[in-house]
Amino acid sequence: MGADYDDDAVLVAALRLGDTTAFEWMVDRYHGSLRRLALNYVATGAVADEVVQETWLALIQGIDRFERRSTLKTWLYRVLMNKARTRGLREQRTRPFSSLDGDDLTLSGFDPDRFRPADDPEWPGHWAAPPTPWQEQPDRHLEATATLDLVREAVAELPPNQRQVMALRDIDGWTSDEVCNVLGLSQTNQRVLLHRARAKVRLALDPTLESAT
Amino acid sequence: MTVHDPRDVLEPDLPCNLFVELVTDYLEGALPLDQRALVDAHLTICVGCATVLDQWRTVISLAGRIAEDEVDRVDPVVRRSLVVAFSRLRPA
Repeated sequence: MGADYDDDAVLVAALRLGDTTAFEWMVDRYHGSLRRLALNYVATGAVADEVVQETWLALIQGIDRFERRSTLKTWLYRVLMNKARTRGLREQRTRPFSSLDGDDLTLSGFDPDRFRPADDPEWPGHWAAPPTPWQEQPDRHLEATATLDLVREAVAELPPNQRQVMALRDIDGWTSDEVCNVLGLSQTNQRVLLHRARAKVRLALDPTLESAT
Repeated sequence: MTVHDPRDVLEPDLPCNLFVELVTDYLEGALPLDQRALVDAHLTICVGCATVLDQWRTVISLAGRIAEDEVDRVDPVVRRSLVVAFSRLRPA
């Protein structure tokens, strides 16, 4: 049992005093997520590792100057994004146009044909072909791992801006305020990106999970 | 959804193709109260949309498990080298 590092004042003070436990706490908590975010901008895992490492060094060296205008977490992610963007530009990395967005037929990932037409006399806009409920979550470890792998792949294939939002919100459990703050999005825009992202992940899981037992 | 109650005419039901665009707003608590009420009412009678809501929740909870899965996976060598750098640059 140690200090309450969830309290930013405690955390910053501990880091300034060279408290290794506080630093380890941060690394365990944010390293994986920082690396995931870095991969949105740079080409390889090796470069992402470098960017994350530079970010940690910036924290170690900059903690004395940190003024707590934002939370330390927000500050850390902003540093990472700046570094990753710079590296990404230097590498001239561009993603294929098709993944840049605006590629969605519908926001929700349901084909319009699955609904009755607007002039349906009884139930306009209601389901013509309703979705099949997914089977209960598999308990067996192997199957659960396979499902998580599917989710991971589906998230990896999202357009970068959708991927960032979904990774921070649903994988890392950030609040919408935090995400808007770090990525510079409006709440509305953030929700649209999140909705598209979840819709695509749902679509990717659908064939596997709907297969009835 | 089989029997036509005359009240249905007075309280128009939310179309399913609109609900599927609103799932995230609904879960985020971002809908105006009147729309939220429409969604709530719709979900009590529409199995298809209730299924969509369930699937959305499953997606969110599965995504959340990715992070748990990765906590143990910070490369121990990287972790160690970071902690060494910290100790060297910020001696306690």
